[in-house]
Amino acid sequence: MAAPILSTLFFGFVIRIYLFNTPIAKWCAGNNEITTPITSWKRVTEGLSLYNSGISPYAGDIFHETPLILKFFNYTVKKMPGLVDLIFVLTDILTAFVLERSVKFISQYMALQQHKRERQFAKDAEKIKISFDDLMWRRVYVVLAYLFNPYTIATCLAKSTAVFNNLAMAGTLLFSIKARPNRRVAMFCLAIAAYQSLYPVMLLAPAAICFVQNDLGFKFKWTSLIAIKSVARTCGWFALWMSGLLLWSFWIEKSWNFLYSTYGFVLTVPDLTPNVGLFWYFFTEMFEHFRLFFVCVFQINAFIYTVPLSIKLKDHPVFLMYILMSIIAVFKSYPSYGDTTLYIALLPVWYFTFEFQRNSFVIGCMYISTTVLAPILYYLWIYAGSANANFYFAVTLVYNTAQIFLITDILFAFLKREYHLIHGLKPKDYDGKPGVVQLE
Amino acid sequence: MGLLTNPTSRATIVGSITRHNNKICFLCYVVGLSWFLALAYQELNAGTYFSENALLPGLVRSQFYGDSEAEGYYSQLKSELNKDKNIMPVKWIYNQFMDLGLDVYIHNFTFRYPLKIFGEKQIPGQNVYAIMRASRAASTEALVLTVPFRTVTTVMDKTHGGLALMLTMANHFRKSSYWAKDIIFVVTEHEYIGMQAWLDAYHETKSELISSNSLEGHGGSIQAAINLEVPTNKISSFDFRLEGLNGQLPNLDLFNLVVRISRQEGFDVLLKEQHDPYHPETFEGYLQNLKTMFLMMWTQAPGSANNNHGVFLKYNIEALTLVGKKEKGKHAQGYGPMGRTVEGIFRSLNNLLERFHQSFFFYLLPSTSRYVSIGLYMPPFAIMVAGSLIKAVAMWISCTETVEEGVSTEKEKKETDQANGESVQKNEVKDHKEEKEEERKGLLSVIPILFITQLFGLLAYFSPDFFVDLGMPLHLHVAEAVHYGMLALFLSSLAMPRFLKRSLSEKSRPDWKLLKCVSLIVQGLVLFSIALMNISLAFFLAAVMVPVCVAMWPSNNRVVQILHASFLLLISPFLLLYITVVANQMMTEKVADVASLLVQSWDHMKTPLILGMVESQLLGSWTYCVICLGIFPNWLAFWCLIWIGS
Repeated sequence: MAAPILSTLFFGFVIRIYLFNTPIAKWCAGNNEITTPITSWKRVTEGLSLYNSGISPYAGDIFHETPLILKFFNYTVKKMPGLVDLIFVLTDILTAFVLERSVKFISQYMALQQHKRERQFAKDAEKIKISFDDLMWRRVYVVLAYLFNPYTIATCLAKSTAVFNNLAMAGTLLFSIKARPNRRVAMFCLAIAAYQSLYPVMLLAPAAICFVQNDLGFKFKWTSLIAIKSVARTCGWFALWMSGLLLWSFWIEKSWNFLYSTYGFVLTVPDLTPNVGLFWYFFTEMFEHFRLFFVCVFQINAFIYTVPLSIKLKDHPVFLMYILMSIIAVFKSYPSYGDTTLYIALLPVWYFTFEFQRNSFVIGCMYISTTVLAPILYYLWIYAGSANANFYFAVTLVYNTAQIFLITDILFAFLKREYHLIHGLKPKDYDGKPGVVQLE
Repeated sequence: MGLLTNPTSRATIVGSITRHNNKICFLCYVVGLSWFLALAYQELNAGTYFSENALLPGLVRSQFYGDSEAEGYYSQLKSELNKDKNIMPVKWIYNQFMDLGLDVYIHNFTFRYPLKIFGEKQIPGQNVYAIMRASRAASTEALVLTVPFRTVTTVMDKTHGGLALMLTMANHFRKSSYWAKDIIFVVTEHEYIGMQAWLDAYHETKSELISSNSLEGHGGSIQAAINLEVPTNKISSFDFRLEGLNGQLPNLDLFNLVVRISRQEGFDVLLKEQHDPYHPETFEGYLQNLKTMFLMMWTQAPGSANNNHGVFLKYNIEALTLVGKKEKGKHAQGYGPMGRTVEGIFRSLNNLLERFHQSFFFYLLPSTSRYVSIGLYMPPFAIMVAGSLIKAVAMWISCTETVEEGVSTEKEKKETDQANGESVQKNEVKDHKEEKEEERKGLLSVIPILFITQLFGLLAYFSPDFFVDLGMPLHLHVAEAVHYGMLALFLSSLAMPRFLKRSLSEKSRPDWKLLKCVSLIVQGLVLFSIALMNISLAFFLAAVMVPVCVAMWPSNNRVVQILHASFLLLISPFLLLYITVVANQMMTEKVADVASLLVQSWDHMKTPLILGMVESQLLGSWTYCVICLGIFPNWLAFWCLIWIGS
């Protein structure tokens, strides 16, 4: 088991180092689908030079990364300028490793959960049960899907700071699901992720559920005092780390101005550079006096799914975390391919839902075609001047539709499998005829 | 969610696709192809019109009557050229502009051909350009008039008439006070390479093979450019060249403008040297239109820069070429009308308030007064390619269905066996797992083949330099070395299935249906991507590739297999290029003997090959790259498919 994983990690490392020396790296760095105003490396270097010439990088509209990232890169770029590329590559490899560990613990967790629930299952549910070995074997796929996904490679080559966010999110997953979950470290990872891009705050819900399950086992009452205490402790740790990070930033920056340039920038969406998300086109078309209202609507839309999903999937926190990760990638204000990498990498974990999925072919085709067409239409619009914004927007719209199809498809497949586990593979309707499970 | 999750409506669609896919594919192709060809018929396309009102074409009275002055320049130029037949009279041109009182500059550049065509030699070149400053604005915008300089000994059409006209126009323009845009007159050496060097210097971009001095004089941002190629002092008609680098076309408004003004001055307007039919509604008229449209697509498809205007388009500058023609039996006109045409065009362009942005950038022209816009030609093209996508869906369904059938029969078996006890059941579970494993192997098993085919594509893309080095000790000419090298690479790629068959065990070989499905999807994607940039190339490729690729399957029957293989070979990129050259040869020259035609074409085939590589490195054309990395690997996947399956 270790050999294929290690060799994958090694080849992932080699291919990145090799590609860094080709023109592809430069192309990636300037590509709108791969970098955003927040994560682009060009802006980080701008911010650094402002910082070094004694001007606050947050005074203007160029730099939107957090003070800690600024400080970190200020240090590395000055002390070891040759190693900057390497840092990005190693972060990617580390993320892959963290994901691999996570899948190991997810397998243990799910095997345990299935074992505990086995008595409720229908007789013929044997077939759709997961096997621990199968799931463990998926680790190789996860590492492969992360390291050899063109999206991940491109994000790394572009030196997009999204790679750090991915690492923090993967860390959250790992430390929430570990055999001996570590609340402090998990919350620290989550705080870093949320500190950097705000939206991962949503992952607090599944993490909290994980810790409650860990404290009380799979059967418990949500209203019991211990459960509430556990949730409170999780939230408390998160708040503690988060405020620690913010205070540290304040200490570096000596002012709170960075808050508006980072979180304000994320929430109010002032930069409408085209990207793969849904915000830019909508807000370029919008009359200014409706702007505030629709910004609120769009942002609430991004966060609101946490509530119904947490209620529906309260027994499956890992899956909930997975779905929320993909929702962040779709609805955040400045998304890029870097955000999709994490949930695409974790797709093999849910192999047992694949046979219930209906649209994998269509979704696959949509992903591939939009990835190819987006740069072409961007070229025609911006450089050749012969196409216009609508062409590019159409492609990003299809891309987001594909993502949403994937989320709904996998969610539906998961729930359908749950239904079949309890009711058997051939459920009957009220008349005793063979029924059809259908999403209404 | 309807269609996507409702199992019943889904089942009906899936059912009908699997049952009728062959008929649907055939119908799609035939309908798409004939619809596309029918677009040249007058009732199915639209008449050109001015979308940009600011142009106000032909509304001013022309003031140009400098016929004699132009004739003077023409005769002076002729005597100047006869002094030394092989060089450009830079000094003379410089002095003429100087005498007119314009800002004149000489732009020096050197360039090197890729592939060591002339060794590592740096070839020097000089462009002369003069800027007439606008009297009504602060040099923020500019228009360009260019003439490519050709020596007396050139094999191409001469351009001396155009050069004399340009000098006269410069003199005429500078006397007027209404100019709101700078007018830059450029005389280029080495055809579009000189133009590219000048544009590089003007926009301060760098290119690898062309190095040039920075320009001393600048104007504003260039709005439009006209390239003049007039051979003598008397012409009867203008032929328009639109097709630029990577199949880009200038804004249709610019074309309309040029056509309108030339017509107004009494010139015949030609497109691809074809006249507009008198009765476009008749069948003969349709055929004439179709011929014009076909010729236009034929020129656009290679994505070559063709003339000076071709490189402007890359910089988002609308540009086209006016070629003067002297036709037999037609009344030839002198410099007066020619000058008034150029004057009219420039005065209209001078009226522009914004960049060209109205009208169309993607169109095909069946005649000078009709156009087929992107909205009209995309549906038939999409229907044509839809065949391959439908087949891909059918392939996918038949792949997954066999697995599903397996599951259901197994389920039934399980039900009957349930009484036999648990031990059987355990076996069943194991079987099921194995089966699933096989299914999963499916998608991954396609990857090695796709990877190897892509590797061949990369090899084809990067190897020309290697072939040239290899040919050096054998005293092969560069073009020959590349030609034979490519042939060798192509032939070795043909042996790939044999190699694969040997190295892959029966189990790890991919399901041919899956391979076909993936390849068809890639094909559709590649064709659509090309269509967005260069519809002509995409159309020709789709017209030959789609029907053959859709019909391919690995047959056990030897005859059928060989039939498939020969069809596939016919549409292989290498042979396709050969066929194109043969067709081109047939169109341009009358060769009676078939054998000599084939031999000649084989010889001529080097030219487009080497030209594609040179343009890709010198000017940034994408055709060579797209063929190597898109079309060739895809074709190779089909080639593997017919040998490897069954």
